[in-house]
Amino acid sequence: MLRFAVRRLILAIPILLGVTLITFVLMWIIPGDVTQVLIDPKIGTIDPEVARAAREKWGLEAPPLVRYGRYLVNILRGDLGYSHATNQLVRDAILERLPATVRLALTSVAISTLLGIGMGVFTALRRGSYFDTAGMVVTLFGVSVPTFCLGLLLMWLLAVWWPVLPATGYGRGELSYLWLPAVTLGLSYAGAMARLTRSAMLDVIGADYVRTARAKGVTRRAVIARHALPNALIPVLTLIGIDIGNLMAGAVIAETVFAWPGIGRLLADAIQERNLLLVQGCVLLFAVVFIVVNVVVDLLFGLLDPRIRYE
Amino acid sequence: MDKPAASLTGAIGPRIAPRDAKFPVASVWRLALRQMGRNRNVIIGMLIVGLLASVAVSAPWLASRDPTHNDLANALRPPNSPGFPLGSDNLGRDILSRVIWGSRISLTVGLVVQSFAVVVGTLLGLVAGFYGGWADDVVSGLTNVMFALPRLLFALAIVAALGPSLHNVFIALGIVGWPTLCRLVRAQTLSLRGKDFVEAARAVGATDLKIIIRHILPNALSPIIVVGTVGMARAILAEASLSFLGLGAQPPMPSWGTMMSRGQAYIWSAPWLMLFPGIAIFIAVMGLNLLGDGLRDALDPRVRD
Amino acid sequence: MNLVRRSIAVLVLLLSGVGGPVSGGPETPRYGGVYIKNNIYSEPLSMDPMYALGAPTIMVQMNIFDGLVKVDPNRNIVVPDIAERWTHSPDAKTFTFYLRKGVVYHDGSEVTAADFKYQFERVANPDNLSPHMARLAVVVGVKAFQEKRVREISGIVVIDAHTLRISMERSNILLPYLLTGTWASAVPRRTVERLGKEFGTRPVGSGPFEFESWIRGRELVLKRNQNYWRKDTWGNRLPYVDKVVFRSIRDMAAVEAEIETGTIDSAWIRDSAYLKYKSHPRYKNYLVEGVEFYTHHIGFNLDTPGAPWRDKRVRQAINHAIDRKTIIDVVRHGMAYVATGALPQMLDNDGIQAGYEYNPEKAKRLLAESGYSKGFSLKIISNDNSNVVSVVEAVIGYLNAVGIRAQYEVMDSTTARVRQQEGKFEWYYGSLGGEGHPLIFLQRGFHSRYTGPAGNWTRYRNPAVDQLLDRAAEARDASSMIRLIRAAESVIVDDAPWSFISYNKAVVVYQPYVRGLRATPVDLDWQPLEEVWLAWSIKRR
Repeated sequence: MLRFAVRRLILAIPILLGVTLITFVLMWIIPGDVTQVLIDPKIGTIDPEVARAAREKWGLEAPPLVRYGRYLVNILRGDLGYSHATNQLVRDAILERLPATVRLALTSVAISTLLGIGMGVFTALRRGSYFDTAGMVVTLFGVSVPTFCLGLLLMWLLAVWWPVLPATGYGRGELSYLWLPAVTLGLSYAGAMARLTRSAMLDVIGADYVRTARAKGVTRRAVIARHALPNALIPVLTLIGIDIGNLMAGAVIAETVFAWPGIGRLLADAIQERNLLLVQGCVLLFAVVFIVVNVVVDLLFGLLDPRIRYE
Repeated sequence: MDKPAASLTGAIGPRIAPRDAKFPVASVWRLALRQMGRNRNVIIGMLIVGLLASVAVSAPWLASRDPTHNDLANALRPPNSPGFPLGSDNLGRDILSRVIWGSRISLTVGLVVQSFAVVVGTLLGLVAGFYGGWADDVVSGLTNVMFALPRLLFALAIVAALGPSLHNVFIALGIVGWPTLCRLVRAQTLSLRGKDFVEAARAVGATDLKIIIRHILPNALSPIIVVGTVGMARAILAEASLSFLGLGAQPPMPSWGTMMSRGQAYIWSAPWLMLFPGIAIFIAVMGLNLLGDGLRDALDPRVRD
Repeated sequence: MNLVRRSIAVLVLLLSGVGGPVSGGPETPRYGGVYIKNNIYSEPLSMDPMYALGAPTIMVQMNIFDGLVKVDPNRNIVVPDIAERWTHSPDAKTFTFYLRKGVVYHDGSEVTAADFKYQFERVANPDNLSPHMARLAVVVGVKAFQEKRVREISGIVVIDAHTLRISMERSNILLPYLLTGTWASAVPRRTVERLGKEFGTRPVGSGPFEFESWIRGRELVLKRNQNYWRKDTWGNRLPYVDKVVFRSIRDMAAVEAEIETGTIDSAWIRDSAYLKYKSHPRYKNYLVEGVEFYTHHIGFNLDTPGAPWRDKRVRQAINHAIDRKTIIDVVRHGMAYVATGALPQMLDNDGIQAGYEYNPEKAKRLLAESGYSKGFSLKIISNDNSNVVSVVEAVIGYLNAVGIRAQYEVMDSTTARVRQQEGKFEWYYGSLGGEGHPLIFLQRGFHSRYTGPAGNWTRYRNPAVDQLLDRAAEARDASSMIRLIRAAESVIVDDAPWSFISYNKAVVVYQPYVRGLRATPVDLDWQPLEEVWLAWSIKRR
C-alpha cells in the first residue's frame, strides 16, 4: 500500500507542473501586470517613472519563459515569492488565511457528508415511499439554488430577522461566526451527496451478491452495514476527491457574502490585482491538497471494497 | 435472435450474435424509451424544459416590451403595476420581458457549454479508455490538472484573459466543464472494453472505429445523457455565480445571472429585481435535474456515477 | 453697556457650539467606548506611510500618523498639523516649516524635523518603490538622489530640531498642499531602521491612535494615544474613544445587515441603500453626506483615427444629449451631484463652473452641423461596478435618442483601467480624482505631460491649456493661481474632451450614538477620528 501511495505522489509531479504552467500562461495573457498594485483603485493613475522602476525591480521585463523558469527554480528552493500587494511573503499571506479556510472546509464537508449520506441512505431504504419523494424534493431544491442566494437568505433569517448569529466576519474564531458560512456551503453540497448516495445504495441493494447474501439468511441490517454502505461511500468519496480543491476555492462565494477570510477570496483578489506570485501560490496549494486527498481517497477505497485492486 | 438484457438490473448491453450485429441497439433503445415514458420525473422534467425552450424561442412575440428600453420615469415599480406585471428594474425596464428574453441566454449557456463539454469530453474519454497506453496517460494527466485547478476562479480568469463577452463565458465554462465528462466516459469505456461483445466484434474483424462507434458509444451514452443534462443545470448555475462575481453577459443583455447580480443592490428595497430571475433559474435548473434523475432511473438503474 | 457686553459674550459662547461636528449638536463629548467602522473595497495594504495608497489603507494610517500639514476636515484648505506655521520666500521657491515642540511618538521619542527629511528620502528612494516616489520631483536635488549620485536630497534642509526648509526648482505655491498626503507623515527614524519591513505591520507614529493589532482579512484595531498633543476647543485632550476597530466587509448587503443589528457603528453605503436610509425611521437623521473630489465622466479617445468625436461640436453635442439630472435622481437615487464642468470644487469649497445643460435638440443640431445627422456607432468600456453599469446603460439610452449607437463592454476594474491607460478604447466611462487640489486635478486630466497612465487617458493635447496650467503652477499668490485655474477650466469645458456626468457624493450612515463624523472635503473615507465620540455605550453581542 505504501508503494502505491508513493507511486501516486510521484506521478503527481507532472500534474503540479501542468498546473503552474497553465496558471502562468493565463496570467500572462490577462491584460495588466502586477504593477497595478501600485495604483489606488479609486484614483486609477500611476506615474510612468514608478511603473518603470517597479517593472525593473520586480523582474517583469524578462521574457516569459525566463520568468517561468525562475519561478520553478524558486519553488524547488521553497521560495514562493513576495506579494507586492500586501508587502509580505506569499507564504505568509497564505498561511494567514489557512486556519480560516481549513475550518470552513472541514466543517462544511462534515455537514454535507453527514446530512447527505444520512439523507441518501434514508431515502434509498424507503424507496418509493413518501419519505423518498419528500427527500428527493428537498435535495432537488438544495441542488437548484445558487450558493449566494442561499447564503443571503440564511443571513437574513438567522442574523437579521431572528438575530441569533453574527452576520459576517470571523470574530476571534468563535463558533458562532462559523455557522452561517459552513451551513450555507454544507447545504449546497449536501443535496448532491444525498442523491449520489441514494443511487449508489440502490445499485448495491439490487446487486446479485447482495441478493445472494440475503438468500443465505444475512439480516437486512447487516447487509446494509457491511456491503451497501461501504459501496455507497465510494462515489461520495470520489466526489469529495474531485471537488476538494473546488470546495476550498469555490467557497469564494460564501467568503464574499460572509466576509470570511479564506484563501478562495485571497485568490480571487490576487487575480484582480494581477498578483502572479500569489495566484501561483494559492493554486499550488489547492493542487497539492487535491493530490493528497485523492491518494487518501484511493487508499480508503481499498479498505472499503475488497474487490478493488490497484494495478 | 438477439434478446434484450436478461433483467433490467443488468447492464443494458446488446448481446451480439455474429450475424445480427446491426439490430440489437434499436430494440434496446425502444425499451429504454418505454421506460422513460413511464417515469414520472422524466415527464415532469421534459415538460419544464420544453416550456422553457418554447418561451425562449417565442421571446420576441411573448414579451410585451423591449427588454433593453429604458424608461427612467417608471423605475423600480413593484409587481402588479400597470404595464409592469412583474415590476420594473432600476432603469424602468420591464422585468417580465427581461426574464423572458433572459431565457434565451441562460438556456443557450446551458446548451452550448454542455455540448462543448460533452463532445470534447466524450471524444477524449473514448480515446483514453479504448486505446490506453500513452494516450490514456496524456488525457488522464490533462484531466487531473484540470481537476486540480479551482473551477469557478479558473473560469473567471479565462474570461478576464479573453475579454468580456458572452462568447468568452461559453468558452470558459466549456473549458472547465469537459473533464468531468471525460473521466466518466473513460471509466465507462474501460469497463466496456473488456466485455464479450467487443471480443466478438473483433473476432468478426470490425475496425477500432466501428467498435467504438457502434458498440461502446451507445452503451456509454446513457450516463453521458444523464450527466450532460445535469451538467446543463450546473452550467446555468455557474453563469449565475460568475455574474455574481462580476463577469457575465454584457449589458444591456438580460441574462438571469446578470439580472440577479444587478438586483443584489436592491435586495432589501426592491427584492423583485432578484426574485423573478432567481425563480426562473431555479425552475430551469430543477427541471433539468429532474430530467436527469428520470433518465438515470429509466435508462440505466445500475450505472455507477 | 454691560448688558450688551454680556449678551455678546453669551452669543459668542452659543456660536462656538454651532458649526461644530456634523453629527449631533453642541453636547459635551464623552470619553470611552469602542468605535467600529467598516473599511471598504478591500484590505489595507501596509501600515507604513510610504505605501499609503487606497482608501482602506489611508483611512487607518491617517489616524496613526501626523504630517507637517493636513487638509482641514471641513474646508478644502491646508491647515497646520505638526508644523504650527510656515513661511515662504517672495519667489515662492523656498518654504520654511516651524514644528511644534513636545510632540511625541507612541514609543515616547520626540518628533523632530530630521524625521520628516528621513521620511521624504524614503519615499523618493526608488529602492523602496513607494507609489508616491514621483511626488517630490519639484524639490531641488531629488533627481540626483534618485539616481544615486548623492546620499541625500539637497533641497531639504534641517535647520534645527524644529525647523525644516524645503527648496524647489521653480516657484510652487502648492507645496503645502502637496505635503498633506499621508505619505508625508513623521516616522521615528530609529524605530523604522530597527524594524525594517516589519514597520508595515507594527507601525509607530505620533497620531491620535496607536496601533494595537491587525489580522488580515478580519479586523484592524487601534487604541487611544494617551499622550496625543491635540486638544479640543474646550481644552480636553483628544481622542475620545478608547479603541477603533476597522472591519472589512465587502458585501454591501451584509454591511446593511450589520447596521441593522448594531454590530457596526458607521459605514459607507451604496446608492440603493441611500434610497432606503433617507426614509428609514431610525437612520434618516444619521447620514453624513459630502461631495468628494472625483468627477465621473465619459472620456473620448482623441487619438482614434477618423473618429467623429475628434470634432469639438460632436463632443459638445454629446454633453447636451445626456440628462444627467434625471440619471442621478433615478438611477443613482440622488447619490451624486450633476457635473457641469470638470472640477467638483475649488479651494475652500468655493463655487463650481457652470457648463452644459440637457438639450437634445441642440445636440442633434450640433451633430447635423458636423455632418453626423445620421449618427454613428462606437464601443464604450467601463468596469463592472453596479453603480457604473446602471449609469452607462441609462446614458446609452439617451445617446440612442440622438442617433448615437453605443455598444457596451463591461470588464473587471483592473482590465478596464489597463485599457484606459494603454489607450485601447474608443470611449470609456470612469472617474478621475483623489487629488484634492484643483490644479493638480486639472494637470492630471488635461495637461499633455500626463498623457497615458498618469491620468490624461483621453490623450488630450491643447497647448493653450498646458500654458495656463503651467502659469498657474508658478503663480506667486493664491488669487492669481485661482484665476488661471478657472481660465484653464473654461477652455477645457468648452473643448469637452469629456462628457461631464457627475461629481461623487459619498454618504455614511452611522448609529444614533456616534458623534463627530465630518463631511471631509476630498474623500469622505479620509476621516479623522480624533474627534469622534460615542454618546452612550451599547452592549455588543
